[in-house]
Formats: sequence, structure tokens, C-alpha cells
Amino acid sequence: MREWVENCFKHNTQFADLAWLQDFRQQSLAKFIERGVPTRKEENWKYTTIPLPKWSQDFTNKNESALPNVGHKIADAIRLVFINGYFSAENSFVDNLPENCIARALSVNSDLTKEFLLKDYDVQLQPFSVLNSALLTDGIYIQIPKDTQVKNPIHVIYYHDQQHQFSSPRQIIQVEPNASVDIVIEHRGQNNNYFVNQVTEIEAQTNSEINFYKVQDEGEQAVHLETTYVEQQQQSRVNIWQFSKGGKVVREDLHIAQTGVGSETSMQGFYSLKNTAQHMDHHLHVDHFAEHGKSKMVYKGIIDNNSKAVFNGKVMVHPGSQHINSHQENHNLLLSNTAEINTKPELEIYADDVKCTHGATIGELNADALFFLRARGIDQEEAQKILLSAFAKEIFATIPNAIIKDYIESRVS
Amino acid sequence: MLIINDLHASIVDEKQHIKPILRGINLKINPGEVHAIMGPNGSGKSTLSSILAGRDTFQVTQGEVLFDNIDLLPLLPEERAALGIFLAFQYPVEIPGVNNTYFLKAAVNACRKRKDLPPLDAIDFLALVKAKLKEVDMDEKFLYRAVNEGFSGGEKKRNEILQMLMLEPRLAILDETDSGLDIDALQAVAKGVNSLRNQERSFIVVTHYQRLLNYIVPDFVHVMVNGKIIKSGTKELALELEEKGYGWLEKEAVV
Repeated sequence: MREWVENCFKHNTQFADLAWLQDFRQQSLAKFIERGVPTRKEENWKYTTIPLPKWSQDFTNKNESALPNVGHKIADAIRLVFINGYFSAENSFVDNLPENCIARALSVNSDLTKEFLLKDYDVQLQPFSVLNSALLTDGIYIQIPKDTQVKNPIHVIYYHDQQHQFSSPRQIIQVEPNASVDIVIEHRGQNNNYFVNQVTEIEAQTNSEINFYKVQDEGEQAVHLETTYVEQQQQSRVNIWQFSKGGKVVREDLHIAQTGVGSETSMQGFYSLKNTAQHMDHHLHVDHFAEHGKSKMVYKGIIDNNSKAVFNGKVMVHPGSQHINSHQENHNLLLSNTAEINTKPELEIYADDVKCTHGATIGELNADALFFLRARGIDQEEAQKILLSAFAKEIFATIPNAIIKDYIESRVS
Repeated sequence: MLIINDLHASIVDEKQHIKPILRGINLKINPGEVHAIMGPNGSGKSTLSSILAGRDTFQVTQGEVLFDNIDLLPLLPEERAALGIFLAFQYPVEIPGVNNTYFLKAAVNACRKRKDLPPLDAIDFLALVKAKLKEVDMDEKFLYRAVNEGFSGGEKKRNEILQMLMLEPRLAILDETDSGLDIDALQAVAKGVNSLRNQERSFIVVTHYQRLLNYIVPDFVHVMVNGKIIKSGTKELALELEEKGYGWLEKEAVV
């Protein structure tokens, strides 16, 4: 473990001219090494072990490749493209961004984001966020000034086509009072062995609205980790969608902190584990620190072959946070006898006037429905496809923007 | 058209016990004929229907089924549908998330594809389905709902008949299509069936009651008890059964 981390650290020349950042990276490295990779003895990591790479990266191979055309783009979007961890200006397009907004790579004028980059994460709880600081490669900084409604979506693509590559992006998103924005973060990759460890911080200020979409379609052998921190001030509305289908080992950690009165969060997810032996873990945590908050989680998953999925959704209502309305749902379809799901919706409530519900289901494809479709002439494969897409439909149907919905459906299903 | 020779079938229950259900069925159906199969609960009527449609929860242990001289038993359900076999289900399944029109179109075009016919385009399909809806007195709104989701018992059965009208099968098996129907729905179902009756097309009508047979008049009536056809006759047999029940036949069968 240590050898790989130190090797990556040493050869990462990004931000080399920023002394303050180099110091911080050094400290983060030391902290992570001391902490070590979490083991399955830790409650939060009971079902998932992150395999740190054993390969050593070929750093001579940093040259840019072209982003392959996937045929379909989000019309009129603002595009920021990163290839093998680094910003690619020629593949990016920002003309549709309103002039008062910022949406750019972190590596451009990093001094502006000093306060965010020097964030000291709790190494015991969030070791991979600390690792992200230590190995920082690039990322995005988005700032939407107050009262600004950004009409066109911001589409960020991280593409990997190199063997034995790591990337460690940091995403900083700040939306000021009464502003709104749609952001689509997409990860794609070729069938190579690589490692992505991303951290995202979202600050939703008073009465702002953020629709935040994530599409994870890494190559089949990739390891993909992401930790997302969301802070919501009063009356803010944050809607998050997580679509996950690629990668060999995938871990999503989502932390929502509702610090302002009357905030609303909706979290929707669809995970599809159809490769031979995928492992995907979604850990969601919502802290209701203020009154009159709403939160809603609806996650669905399809698990096939020898794949394993984990879902852990936790809602904490802190003392004094009255009038909270919270709902959690997780539904899973197992398509083989060797597929596995560990699901655990949790509630922890320290206030007495709240309404909280949760539930989880695990099932298989309805044999009666399958036979019914086949008896009408639809072949087995097609019938299965129809039933699976019906299962996922509820999640896609929640996407309010038709252009984004079409795009994500075409990428995921 | 359909020949069933000495068909035996069993089911394996939760305790892994093998339970025989069909114990030697013999039946011959010619083109254009309507055969009613009657009998008490548990006699194996629905099992026979399911086996003909290709449900694999039953094990055929003996005998054969020929459809136009093709051995039916090794074929997949979708292959049987393409040959023109249609089962109207006793309990049509609800499929949330699958639009009824989408389903009907997928079914029609899947069957057309197996017959090497080009798929119907959206406009032709919609014109066809709207015409067929009228025949079963269904409102257009059912096209835009999920398959059978939240449909009443009668609406589900009308939807089955709608599918039958769309697919124009050569052999239609109606498995207790009359159960739980009010008189209006019963008449709509019968109207749909009668509109399809012709010299080429055959029907198997499985029912408990004689009532349906007032509307769909059968050429032959068979009585099934304990996995066997114990008596066959014409439509008068159904009237006799209505009057006397199945008891006298069960006694005869034992002797």
C-alpha cells in the first residue's frame, strides 16, 4: 500500500509551483499512511475492502488522448473534459456559460480555491478524502453568483484510456443565494486497470437549487471511489442522482448536512451490476441539523452473476430538529443465485415531532410476468429487458430536464 | 390441428414431493372447432392450458402434443406464440412500468418477425389497436396505462381478449376467462371470441360454468376429473352438468 501511495505522490507534478499546497499534500500523505486503508472490522467498511493498486504507474504516459465520440451529447451544454485525470482544453467548451459564473478546471489559477483545497478531512472517518488531498490531480471549480439561473447544463466528463493510471479529482461547487444550476458529472473509461478517487464538495446557499447528476461508467477493471459532501443552507433544494454501472470495485459516500431551516434533499440512485464480479457500495448519510427539513432517498439496483452490492442509507435527526420529513427506500433485483445485496436503511432520531419512514426489498424477476410476455411471442432476452427497464423507470422518471433524462438513459440503459 | 396423446404431467411441490396432475389426456381438435373443457376445481384444466402455452413449472412425464404435426413440447413459449397458440390467462399479471401500447406493439411485432413479416409502424399499429379496442368495448385510456396495473377483473379479461384480437392466433385457449366477470364483460369477451371464429381457427374454452357457453357455443364439451377426460359430448352435456353437477360423473369414473 505505502509503496504505491508514495510512488504516486512523488511523481505527481501537478500543482508543483504552489508551496502551500505541496506542504498540505505532504501532511495529508503522512496522515493517510498512518491511518491505513480501512478494514472490514470497521462498521462503515463491513462489506467493502478497497484494493489499493499494486502496479506502479508509468508517469511518462501523461500525453493527452482524444475523447472518443459516444455519439450523443447534451445539447448546448457547457463541457469540461478531463483525460486520464488532467484537464483537456481542446475537448472542452464553455461558451454557453453566463459571464458572471465560473466553471473551470481546478488547475487553472488554483490560488483562488486555496481555502477549499486546504480542507482538513477527518482521517479516521474519511481516509480516502485525505488520500485525495495527498494525490490531488485536478478537478473543477464551479461558482454560480446569487440570483443567477444557469439554463444550460454543465457537463463534466472524466475519461480514462490508460492502463495503470490513478486520478484524484476534487470538485468544488458553490451556488449562491437564489441561484440554480444543473450539473452532470460523468466517468467513462476503457477496459483498463486504473484507480479514481474523487472528492466533491457542494455548498448550496440560501434558497438555491442544484440538480446534481452522476453517471459512473468506468472500465470493467477500474476502482472508483467518490466521497461527496453537501452543505445546505436554509430553504435550499438539492436533488442528487447517482447512476452506476461500470467499474470492478465502486464505493460512493454521500454526506448531506442540512444546516439551514427548511432545506430539501432528494437522492435517487440506480445501480446495475451486470459484469462477472462487480462490487458496488452506496453509503448515504443525511444529517438533519435544522428544523422543517425534508429528505428522500429512493435507490434501486439490479445485481447479476457473482456481483455484490451494498446499500446503507442513514438519516440522523439531531436534537431540536423538529418537523423533519424523511423517507428512505431501497429495492433490489437479484438475477442470479450467486448475486448478493446487503441493504440497511437506518434511522437515528433525537427529536420527537418528526415523520420518518424507511424500507428495503430484495426480489427476483417476476416469473409470472416473464412467462406472460413470452407467451405473447416476446423472446426471453427481450422480455427480461422490458421488465428490467420497467424496474429502473421510476428512477429515470424523476429527472426533470428532458434533455438530461434522454442523455442519461442513453448512457446507462 | 392439435393432437394430445396420453399426456401425463406432474408438479414438484415445496416439500419436493412429485404430485401427478394430468394422468393421460387424449384430445383431438380440428380446424374451426370450439372445444369446452369443464370440470371441478383441481381437476387439471388450468395445468393443461399452461402446458400447452409452454409454462415450465410442470413436468411432462409421458405422452405427446402435436400442433400441425409439430412436436410442441420442446418449443419455448415464444415459439409456440409465433406458431399461433394463444393463452388467455385466468389471472392476467400486472406489470407496473410497462406501457400497455408498448407491450402490445412488442408482442405483435415479435410474432410478425418470426413469420418474416415487416414490423408495423406506429401509425398502422395505433389504427389497428384502436379498431380492436372498440370490439371489446374498452376505453382508449387503457392503452396508456401500465399492463393490467390497477385494472378491475373485467378490464384485465378484456385486455386479454384485446391481445387475442391483435395477435389473431390459430388456436386460442381461454383459461376460465369467465371467472369473476359481470354480464357486460362476459358479453364483450364472447363478442371478441365470436368475431374471430372461422373455418381455420380453433378454441379451447376452459370453464367451470355453463353460462359462458351460452355466448360461445362449443362444438364439443369434455369433462375433466382428476387429470383425465372422463366424458365427452356435445353442448347438451354442458347443460346436463349444470343441472346435475360433477358428482355423478366422478362416481362413474371410479367404477
